[in-house]
Amino acid sequence: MHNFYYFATGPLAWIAFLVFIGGSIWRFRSLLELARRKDSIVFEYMDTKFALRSIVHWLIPFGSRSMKINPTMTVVTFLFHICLFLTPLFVFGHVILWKENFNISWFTLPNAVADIMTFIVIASCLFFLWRRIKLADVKYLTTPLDFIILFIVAAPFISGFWAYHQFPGFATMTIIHIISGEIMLMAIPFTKLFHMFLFPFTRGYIGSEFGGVRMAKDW
Amino acid sequence: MTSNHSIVFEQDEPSSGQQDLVEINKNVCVEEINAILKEKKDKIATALKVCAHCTLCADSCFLYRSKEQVTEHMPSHKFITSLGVIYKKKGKVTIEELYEMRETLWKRCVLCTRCSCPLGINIPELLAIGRRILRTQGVYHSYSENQPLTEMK
Ligand code: HEM
Ligand code: HEM
Ligand code: SF4
Ligand code: SF4
Repeated sequence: MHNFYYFATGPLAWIAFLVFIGGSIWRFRSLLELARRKDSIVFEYMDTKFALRSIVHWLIPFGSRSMKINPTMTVVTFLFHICLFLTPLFVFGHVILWKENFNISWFTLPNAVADIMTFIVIASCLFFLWRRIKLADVKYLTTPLDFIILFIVAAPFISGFWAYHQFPGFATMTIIHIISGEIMLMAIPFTKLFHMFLFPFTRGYIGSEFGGVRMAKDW
Repeated sequence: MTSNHSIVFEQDEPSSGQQDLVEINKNVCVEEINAILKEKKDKIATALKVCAHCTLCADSCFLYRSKEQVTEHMPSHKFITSLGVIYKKKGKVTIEELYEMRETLWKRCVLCTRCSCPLGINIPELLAIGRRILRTQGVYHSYSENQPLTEMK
C-alpha cells in the first residue's frame, strides 16, 4: 500500500502532468497547423478587440442573452466552474504537497470553505447528471462518454472529501483520490474537457466574425 | 414525436420535393466530400470535440422556439447529425443519409446565424459547410440551386 502511494504521488503524478501539458500543447499545435495549411482565412478574421469583447461578455454571469434564458443553468455552471478551478489549486492538502516537494507555497482555503466548494462541485455534477437523464433535449444529445466524463470530474472531489474527512477506508480512498485526479488531468487534452483551453479561441473567432463582418453583438 | 414531425415537413414541402427524389443520383463521390472535410477539418474537429452537449444553444434558435421546441431543431443536434456524421464516417455516407440530412440542413435551418453557443462554436458555419457538401452530391432543394439569380423562375 505504501509503495503504491509513492508510485501514485511520484512517477504517476509526473506522467499525469506531462500528459496533461504535453498533450494540450500537441492538440493545440496540430489544430493550428491544420488551420494554417487549409483554412488560413481563420487568422484573417481574428480581431483582438472583438474577440476580447465577446470573451468578456460570456465570462460575466448573466452577461449574455443565453444565460438570462437559462438562469438555473447559469448559476450552477458558474459556481461549478469557479469551484472546480479554484478548489484543487488552493486546498490545503495540495499546497502542502507542493511545499514538501518543491518548497513553494501559496494561499490556502480555510477548511470549511474548501468543504463547501467541494460540495458545490459534487452537487453540480449531480445536477448535470439529472439533466442528462431527465431533460428530453439533453438526453437526446448525451453520449455514454458524457457520463464517463462527468464521473471523471466528480471522482477527485468525492474521494478528496472522503480522504480529508477520514471516513472509513480513507487510506485507500487517498490513493483512489490521487489516481482519479491524475486521470482527470490526463483526460483534459483528449476529451471535451479541452474546452477550457479552446474556449478563448472558439469564442474569439465567432466574436470576431460578429464584430468585424456582421457588425453585431454575439452575446 | 419524431414521426409526427417528419409529417409536418412533408406537408411543408410542395410537389417539388417529389421531383427531387425522382432524380436521385445513386453514387456518392467520397473524394469530393473528403476534399471539403479536409479543408474544414480544423473547424469540424474542434466543434465536435468541444461541444459539451449542454443544449444551451436550443433556445437561441427561433425554429426551435416556434416548433414546439422539438429536439430536432436544436442547433447542436443539427450539426452533429449532419456534418458530424459525414465527418465521423469520413465521407462514406449513403445517398439516403444525405437526403435525410437535406431535411435537417435546409428545412430545419434557415442559416439566419442567430444561434449562440456559450463555448463559441460557430454552428451556422458548420451547417453551411454541411450544405456545401450536400450540394457537391446534387442533394439540395430546388429553391437553393447554384444558378445565377437571373435564370431562376
Ligand atoms: C486535478 C484533480 C484533483 C482534484 C479536483 C482534487 C480535489 C481535492 C479535494 C476537493 C480535496 C479535499 C478538500 C476538502 O474537502 O477539504 C483534496 C484533498 C487532497 N488531495 Fe486532491 N485533487 C486532485 C488531484 C490530486 C493529486 C494529483 C494529488 C496527489 C498527487 C492529490 C492529493 C491530495 C491530498 C494529499 C489531499 C488531502 C487529503 C487528506 O488530507 O487526506 N490530489 N483534493
Ligand atoms: C476555464 C475556462 C472554462 C470555460 C470558459 C468553460 C465553459 C464551459 C461551458 C460554457 C460549458 C457548457 C455549459 C455547461 O454544461 O455548464 C461547460 C461545461 C462543462 N465544463 Fe467547462 N469551462 C472551463 C473550464 C473547465 C474545466 C477546467 C473543466 C474540468 C476539467 C470543465 C468541465 C466541464 C464539464 C464537465 C462540463 C459539462 C457539464 C455537463 O455535463 O453538462 N470546464 N464549460
Ligand atoms: S450550446 Fe454549444 S456546447 Fe452546448 S450543445 Fe449547443 S453547440 Fe454544444
Ligand atoms: S442558423 Fe439555423 S440553427 Fe442557427 S438559429 Fe438560425 S435557423 Fe436555428
